[in-house]
Amino acid sequence: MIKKRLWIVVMIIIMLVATMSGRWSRQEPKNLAIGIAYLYEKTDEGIYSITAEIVHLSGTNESGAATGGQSGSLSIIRNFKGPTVSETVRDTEVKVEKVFFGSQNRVRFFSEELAREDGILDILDFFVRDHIADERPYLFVVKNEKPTDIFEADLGGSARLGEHIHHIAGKRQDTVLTTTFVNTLKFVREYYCEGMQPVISVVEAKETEAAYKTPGMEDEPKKTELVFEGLGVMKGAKLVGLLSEREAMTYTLLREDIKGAHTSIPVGEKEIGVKLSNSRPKIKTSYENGRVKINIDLKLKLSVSENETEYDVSQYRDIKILENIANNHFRKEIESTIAKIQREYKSDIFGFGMHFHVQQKHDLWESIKEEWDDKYFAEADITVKVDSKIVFSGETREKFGVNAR
Amino acid sequence: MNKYPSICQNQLALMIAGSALMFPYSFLPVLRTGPANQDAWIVMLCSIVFIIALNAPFLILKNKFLNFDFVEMNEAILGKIGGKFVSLIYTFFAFSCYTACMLIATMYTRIYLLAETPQWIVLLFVIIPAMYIATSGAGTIARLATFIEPYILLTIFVFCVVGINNMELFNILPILKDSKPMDIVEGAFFTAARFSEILILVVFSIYLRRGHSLNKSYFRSLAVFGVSFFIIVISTILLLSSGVAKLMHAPFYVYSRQVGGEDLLQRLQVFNALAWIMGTILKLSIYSYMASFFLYKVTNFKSQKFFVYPLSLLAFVVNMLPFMQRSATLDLFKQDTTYPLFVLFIAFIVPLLLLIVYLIRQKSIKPIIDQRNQAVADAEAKHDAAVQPKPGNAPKNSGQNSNEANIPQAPPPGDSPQQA
Repeated sequence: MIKKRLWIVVMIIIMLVATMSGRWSRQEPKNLAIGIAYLYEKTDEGIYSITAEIVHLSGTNESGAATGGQSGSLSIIRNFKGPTVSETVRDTEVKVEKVFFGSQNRVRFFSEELAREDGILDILDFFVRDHIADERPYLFVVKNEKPTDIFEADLGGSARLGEHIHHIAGKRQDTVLTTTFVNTLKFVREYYCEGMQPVISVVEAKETEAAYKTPGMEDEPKKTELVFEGLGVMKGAKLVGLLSEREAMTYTLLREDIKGAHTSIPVGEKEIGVKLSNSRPKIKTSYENGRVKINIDLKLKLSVSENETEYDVSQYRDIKILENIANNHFRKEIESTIAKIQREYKSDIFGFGMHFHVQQKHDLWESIKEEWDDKYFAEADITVKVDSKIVFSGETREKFGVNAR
Repeated sequence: MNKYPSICQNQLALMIAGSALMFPYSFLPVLRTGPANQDAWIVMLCSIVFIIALNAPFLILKNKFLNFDFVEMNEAILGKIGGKFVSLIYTFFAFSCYTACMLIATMYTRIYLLAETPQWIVLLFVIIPAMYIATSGAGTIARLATFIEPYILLTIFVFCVVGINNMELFNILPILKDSKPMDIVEGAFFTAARFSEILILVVFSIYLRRGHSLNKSYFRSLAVFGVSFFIIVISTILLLSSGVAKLMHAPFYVYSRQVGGEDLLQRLQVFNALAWIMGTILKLSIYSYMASFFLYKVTNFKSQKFFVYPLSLLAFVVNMLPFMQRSATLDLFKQDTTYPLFVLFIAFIVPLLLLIVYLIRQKSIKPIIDQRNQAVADAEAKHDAAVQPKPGNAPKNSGQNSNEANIPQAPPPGDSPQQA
């Protein structure tokens, strides 16, 4: 009996050891090319050009130079070309003497040209089908004319681009209004959702001023830094337009759970800085005379973090005035952005169609769903109501300096 | 003493639930059947009613033949030749399930876990432990279920809780708007038709301890299975959406890949994979045991163990056929037009026919049942008298806590004496 139990315990230990090791394949980590960021483009010849950031493991059996990297650097940037994505990411041109490993991939970039002209449908098929890829990496459209510029950007304290963006996206997702970070699963899920179009994050490597300049190096070449502003509006798997940072705010207010994003509200010629959190808006849809009506009721909670104005945010009378100003400000922003998307892009990224699908009769939705984006969403009458509440005035009452002298 | 294995009702319930859960744990066929949309969780709930209805003939029969093993029951109803013939059909079914589960195990391992590992290595990895467990007997399988199954249930529950933050309620909306009632019924029927675990109840209930209820085992297993199945389906839909989930070969594994911490805890899906591998091996050992048990009883061979090895070898060979190494073959098992109909024939049609024959021949069969029941009652009484403690000399082990029964049921069913 004891012998049998011992056998069972031994077998379980073997199973645990076999499955809980870091790697599940026979390849040693030192023989792996661990890609953590990939940029997808298409060349003029119509083949894929994929630029990969590969982790450079120190202590491997070859130098960085041998793999194309620089000695001492923490990652290597290599470019591959091929007719399909799966071939290209596996380096069928045999440029790297390692086996590609994709489970640590953090971010996928697409050139704006590829996303607009060809779309990313075929690439998405690879992402969900091939075992080297999975659904976790974030998706970005690169605004730069030369998309590979993002690999040259200064990352501040981070060592690798893929990890830099992964950490930013993970930690800032619910605290920024000007963009949102879309991972592959979210994109695919929205792609499959009836009555909703996906969005994609946007990144740009912009030239920066002295922020990271080395003291004493006057002729140092200009550095670039990554800027995450705005959003890409998709229609199916094709990019149809880009939203500015102000326009992206409408999307984040209506679709994301914001738990403390800082923004400013213009009050005359001054501004008031607030920390904002939202709750998902109530969206009511109706259908009258062949037209769709959509009512959006958005509630916001504001905490004052800076007050340039003369209003006293500890007084209910002043709070009410500021709340009305905030309501008008957000309402106008939301209305103008939705109107632009209806007019120019005809793509329901806010998921109004999904609400219509849920709230209206099944047959009605079935009869109009094919034309939802181009006709019914594009021509919908949309009214927006914003109800802001200033719930905290910060650690002080009236404006700093009032009655001081 | 300790001649024949004895299992308690909870062990039997866990065996049934654990084996049944391996389908949803692996490829969640409910997502692709019936309406195949966000209402899959409603289809799943309705399927429980169908499962009970489809299992009713076997359950009724087994309640009549409590002291008969499966082959003896068939022989009592249909006569020697008819009983053996039907038992051979079930042998084929159990072997088919054994082979199919092996195929599923190797395919998923190669698709999701060990893409570069050759098929034969993966096959050996699951066959050897399954063979060992099956030769160890029903008691070992039951005891194994008591610590594998709770771990599987724990992973289901924990992954559900950990994934809550990533779930989106709109993924299950609109509810019941896009599905026709007949689609729901059809989906529920085909989902229920995949539930062949009633056979486990029928085969292993002969080893139930005295006083332990067959019906309690069944309904407890159904409760555990139903709740776990519901958690798997609803979590997967809420996180992945039905559209994406039904695209995947193993939606719950893909679900588990999405949850967990970002930095400290990564690749938590390993716990899911581990539960899946252990559950699969348990299921394989159950079906291997059943197939070999049927053969042993049909042939009157000296040992059930003997058949485990050739059947495993045959399953290995079948799985090594080029046709079986294609993922399209796996898709055949997912379709409603093949596997559920086979299970339906085995788990509903044949037992229904057996029940009809039993009702027709009730008068002639009843004395056989009574005779057996009397023999078992006599054996129990004899045993009770034998273990009656003498005054002031109580035995150290009264046998109540032992996993092995002290009473050989009469005539000895099930495992061979070598399993003592």
